[in-house]
Amino acid sequence: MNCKETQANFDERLDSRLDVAYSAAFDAHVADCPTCAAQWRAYAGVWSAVARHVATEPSTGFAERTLRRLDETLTEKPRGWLAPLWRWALAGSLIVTLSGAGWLGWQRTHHTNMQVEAYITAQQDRLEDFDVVASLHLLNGNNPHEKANVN
Amino acid sequence: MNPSDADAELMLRVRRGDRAAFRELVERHQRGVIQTIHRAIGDAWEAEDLAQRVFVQVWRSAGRYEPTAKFTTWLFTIVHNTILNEHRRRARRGAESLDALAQSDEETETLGAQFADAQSPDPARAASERELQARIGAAIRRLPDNQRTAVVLCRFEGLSYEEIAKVLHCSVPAVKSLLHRAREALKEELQGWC
Ligand SMILES: [Zn+2]
Repeated sequence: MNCKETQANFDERLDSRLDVAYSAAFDAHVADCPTCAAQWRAYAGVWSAVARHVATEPSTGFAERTLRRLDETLTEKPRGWLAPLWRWALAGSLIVTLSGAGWLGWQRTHHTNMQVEAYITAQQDRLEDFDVVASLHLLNGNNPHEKANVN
Repeated sequence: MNPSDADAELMLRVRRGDRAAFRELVERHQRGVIQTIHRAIGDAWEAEDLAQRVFVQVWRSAGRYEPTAKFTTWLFTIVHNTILNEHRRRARRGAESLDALAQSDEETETLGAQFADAQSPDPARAASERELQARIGAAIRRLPDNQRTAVVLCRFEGLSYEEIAKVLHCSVPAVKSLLHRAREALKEELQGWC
């Protein structure tokens, strides 16, 4: 294995995606090559440091509070009364209407403008909740088109 | 029964409106969900609030769950989208978001301090560990959304490239590229600290 090949496989080695023989060849090259060894140490060192990052633990009673929140949510006016396609149509027309209303509001008084903006923001928040549902739809294999890349 | 089968079975019960099964799912996955959100937004209180939203969404969407999909993939799809939505919400409420960011950095530092103190009785070592914790947390938060989710799911939640690809609706080579770019960025940010 040469330097170029070794360095191209840093990620696979870190994520244990190389087969045994390839992995052994990788390790042998790193053991013999000071350049690759230094780069590998830096690359792998950061990844081990990241693993030591501490995040918060769930607070006591989290599950209990989640069940209470679920109950509160379920007693709210149900939102699942429209078929998904209609939801999007409704949401789209809502945004168009509200944007128009927002523009008119801005034209009239500052006060009205603020109210309309707050309302539009609330509707945008609600639309984003639809995104979550839509992404689950994709996960169930309802859309064969995958994004090639992301960010 | 392997953990993934157990989750699928619980989800099928949740689909029938079984609250005990829902509670068990929450208890099994609360840590992963809360910590993934916490690593993305930095604020522990907000992370629990959003995690509750995630689980409520699990209940609401249970009818769409198909046992062919691994539950954790399904769960982290909801988590990832909830984080994206939260970032959009924060971007819309610009000023609040800056306050929240300042608060989250402070909080992460406190959490890191508790960890560092517990790990080392030596004050100098504890201080340097605290600083490292804060830097790692900030470096993770600064990654673009998809890179951060890929890192957190790979490093902390043990998802495979294939599972991460499903969560992010992208290809396996795209996941590989996300992880590579994220590691380069983290190496750059944490240079001299690791
Ligand atoms: Zn070399």
